[in-house]
Amino acid sequence: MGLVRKKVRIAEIPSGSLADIAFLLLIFFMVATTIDMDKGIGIVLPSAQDSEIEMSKKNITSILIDPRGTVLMDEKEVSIKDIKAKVEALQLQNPKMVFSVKAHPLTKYRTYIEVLDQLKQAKTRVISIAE
Amino acid sequence: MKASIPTASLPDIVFMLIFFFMVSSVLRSHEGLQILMPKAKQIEKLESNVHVAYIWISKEGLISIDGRLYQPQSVRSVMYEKRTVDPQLIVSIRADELVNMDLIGQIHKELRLADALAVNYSTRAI
Repeated sequence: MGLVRKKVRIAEIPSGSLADIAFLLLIFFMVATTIDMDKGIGIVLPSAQDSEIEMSKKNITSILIDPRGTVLMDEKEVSIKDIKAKVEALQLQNPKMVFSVKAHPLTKYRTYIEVLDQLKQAKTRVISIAE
Repeated sequence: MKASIPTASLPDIVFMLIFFFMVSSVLRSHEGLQILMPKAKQIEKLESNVHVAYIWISKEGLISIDGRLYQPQSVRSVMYEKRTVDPQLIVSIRADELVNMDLIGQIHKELRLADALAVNYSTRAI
């Protein structure tokens, strides 16, 4: 007599495409995570204990900014765009040149950053922030 | 005989990578003030995200550090503490472009007194 043999059915979730799904997730996370790096203009402030350093006047170029955004470089008015070229020329003449930036209390921060940006573009090494 | 690379453990490897990315990526929401940073061309990236302290300055003259408001003269003690914990500290000043320079000057003075001398003015790229 034929006993009917029960067929054992193995149910399986197909796992062949699991890797694809995981890769998709991986790529999503790689794209979605932004490595948020802060960008800006870096300077080093003088230490509070620093005594004043004597410097020859000819090695200093003073840059003054007034509240209206006018920039005076060695007492001559310059437009902000021209600072870079002037600073580059001065540095060629005198590589020891130090640029001292001084802003009026009512000057806007934006103008100050524009001036610093120009100095940085001219690859100035020593920027002094006067107060 | 068919030669094949076993791919059964591939999902495991990929999941491990996913977990690595999920854990290592920090979803940091900046807590600060609403500001519009000035623009600059010659900008440099901060080398690390770890040794940075942010000072937010809004155009109304509010100063915020780590989500708390401070008076200009108390910046010194806050930054001094941070500086003691982390000597490599860089202070990132996130100020609105319309802030007056007298406030920035005061912050400079406070930072100098706190001996936190490495400063970065946060800017937008043009």
